[in-house]
Amino acid sequence: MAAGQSIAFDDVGFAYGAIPILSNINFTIEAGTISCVIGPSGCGKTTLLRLVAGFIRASEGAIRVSGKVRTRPSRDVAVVFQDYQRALLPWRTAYENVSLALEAAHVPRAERRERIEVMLELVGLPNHARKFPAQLSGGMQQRLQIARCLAQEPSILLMDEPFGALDAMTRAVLQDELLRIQQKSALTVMFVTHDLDEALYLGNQILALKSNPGRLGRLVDVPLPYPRDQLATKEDPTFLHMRRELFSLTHGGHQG
Amino acid sequence: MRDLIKGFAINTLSIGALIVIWYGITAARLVPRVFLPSPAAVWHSLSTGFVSGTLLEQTGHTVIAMLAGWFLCSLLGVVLGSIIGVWPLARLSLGPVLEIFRPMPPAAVIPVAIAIFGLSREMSLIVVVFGAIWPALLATVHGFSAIEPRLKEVGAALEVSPQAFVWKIALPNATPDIIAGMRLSMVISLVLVVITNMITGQVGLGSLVVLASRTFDMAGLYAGLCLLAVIGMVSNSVLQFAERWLLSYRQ
Amino acid sequence: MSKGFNYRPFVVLAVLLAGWHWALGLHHVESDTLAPPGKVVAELGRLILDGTVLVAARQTLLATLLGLAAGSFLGTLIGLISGLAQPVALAIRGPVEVLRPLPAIALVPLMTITFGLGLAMEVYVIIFAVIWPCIILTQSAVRAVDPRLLEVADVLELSWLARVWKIVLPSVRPRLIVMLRFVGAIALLIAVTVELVSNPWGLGHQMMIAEEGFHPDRMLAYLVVITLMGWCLNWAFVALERHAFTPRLNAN
Ligand SMILES: Nc1ncnc2c1ncn2[C@@H]1O[C@H](COP(=O)(O)OP(=O)(O)OP(=O)(O)O)[C@@H](O)[C@H]1O
Ligand SMILES: [Mg+2]
Repeated sequence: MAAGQSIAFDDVGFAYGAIPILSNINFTIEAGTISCVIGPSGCGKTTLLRLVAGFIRASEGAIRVSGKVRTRPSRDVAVVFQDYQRALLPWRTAYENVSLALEAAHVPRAERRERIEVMLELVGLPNHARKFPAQLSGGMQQRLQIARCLAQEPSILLMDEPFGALDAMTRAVLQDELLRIQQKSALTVMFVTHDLDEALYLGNQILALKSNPGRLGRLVDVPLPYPRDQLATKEDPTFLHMRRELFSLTHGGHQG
Repeated sequence: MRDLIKGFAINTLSIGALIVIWYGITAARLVPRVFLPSPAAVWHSLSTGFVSGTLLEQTGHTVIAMLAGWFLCSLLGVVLGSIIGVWPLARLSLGPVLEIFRPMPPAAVIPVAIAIFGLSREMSLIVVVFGAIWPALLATVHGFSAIEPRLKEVGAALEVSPQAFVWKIALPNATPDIIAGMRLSMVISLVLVVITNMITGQVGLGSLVVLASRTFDMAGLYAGLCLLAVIGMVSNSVLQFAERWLLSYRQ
Repeated sequence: MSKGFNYRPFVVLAVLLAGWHWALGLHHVESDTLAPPGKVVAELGRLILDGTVLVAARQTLLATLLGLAAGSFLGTLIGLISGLAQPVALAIRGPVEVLRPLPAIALVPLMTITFGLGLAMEVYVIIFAVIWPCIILTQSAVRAVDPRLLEVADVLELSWLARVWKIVLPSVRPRLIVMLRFVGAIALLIAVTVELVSNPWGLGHQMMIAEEGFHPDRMLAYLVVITLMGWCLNWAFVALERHAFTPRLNAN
């Protein structure tokens, strides 16, 4: 997979008509790191991600990917959508859904098969290749979407609450899988979540957004070493300390 | 599959019951024979008609005309609908014009078509295409315009080419609508074939029914009606079956 | 695309009209098969002024509305009952499947023998055309009623009638109104067609006479009137839908 790229937010603002949704967003995501975005519902996390994806354009400022201003979507930035049911092609099997990414990249037919199988294996769906999305559970559909995004071989992976609908068990497995892939390929990951533990467990840094209009509340580095471990990391004093601090920040924000 | 067989069994049973009731009514002479012949008389008319070959010819003409009209209007409807659905300029300029013509009852163009083409088979075909194109056309436009925005974004993120987008995402996405439209087109197609056939008097089931009524051949009239019902039922079931098969992914 | 007034359809229409006018002038066929748009408008004006169009339109409209009312009432009733009672649904399924695909127009000769020409025959054919879609659509509307609401009815031990009146009908109402628009178009289509085929009555008949008498301008004028009637009917049902779908906040 391609090595990561950096993402720089340069005084970014966004408005739907006259309603400001995001304003004065300034920060940088280093290449090959995981940044987690947290914040109250409706504060603009998805909007921020869509800006990076290139689906919408900033009304103010600019987003630079490895120095180049981002204006439209491109294949090196993959998006894992929050509503996975709608992001899969219902008339294609799991196998064919992953294949779409390879077809788009004009990968010759002969090479596709193996790569698709590797991807399905990676997300734990090797035995469901011939099933249609409607025959998969919610968690399986989300894993399928992730498989398609990885098959795209992106250098940046944007994930919008990807594990929100999964049970705790699958969620932990996929978190570790994501970390493993990211460490191996040095992907740049931007990960939206509303789960503080998840953000701390995965991220190199955490961006806490505030609402009305969405703006950067706090930017913290997470000094926990990789590889991380579901038990050890979550019992680490640093983890617990940061969790407490961020908790009061995000929950205090509601009252203030 | 089991549902299908069960449904078939229930339908056969209740159709059987219908025929028994029909027989009962005629046997008890509740309705004058002139209005309702017995099932046996209709059966006799059907079998002699098929043995002599005249009924077969009439049925054949009607079925072929229906299929030809349906095929043409499906083809035109889907192609035109795709263009309008994919190309915003076409949608803006043609959409409202179509809205003007759509509420026009299709049969109303028959006199115009007769004036231009005379009482010919071409006239009939044109009327069928003109009238039956709407469901296929509008359903295709709808299928294309009602595409899930998330799928558009998936296409954008993968930088899928415009042609590939139409083939791989937009068209399959519109398929359920298109098939539903084509089913309706088939129904209208049969209706219009019968109407034009009644007016032109050429060989076919429509003229058969008219002629039978003029000669008070009630068994022949009911035989024609039965055949039309069968044609309608069979064509609809075939398309329903195709629909199920094509859309089996929807569970 | 661009904001503001969408002029494009008018351009398309103007081109169509000009093409029509020009094509006729070129081939000099206007005398007995087709007429240019100007003549059609003039003839339409004459027909409106001397009232013939209004008489014919009233006849067609009367048959359409009578058939629509009777057919949709019967169809909805049967659909409601069979949607709520499974055995009834099973019993009528076969006949519905057999009779529904039968083109109603094919019944015209039979109906003519039975009832003679005139309004009654036309209305019966319309009823036959309208009743099947109404049964099917009402059935599926009833089946789409939220089961939770029916459970509420069970818990409250509502009587069968109260259940229909208070739970089922209000929840199927929007779909029934959409259905009405759909079958309204069918009713008009059948009315015009019956008139075209045989019934000496209404707009379709006038149009056929005009065609047979080589009056293309009159024929096309009637086509315009029929299309207008289709619009009006459609527009009326759309207005009804709007009215029915607007949430009423102060229901007093
Ligand atoms: N198409 C739109 N038009 C107008 N406003 C919009 C639109 N989409 C989103 N918004 C507004 O933008 C704001 C941010 O929405 P966004 O989806 O980014 O929130 P979010 O942080 O992802 O929320 P959640 O955690 O619930 O997913 C919301 O207040 C929403 O009302
Ligand atoms: Mg969101």
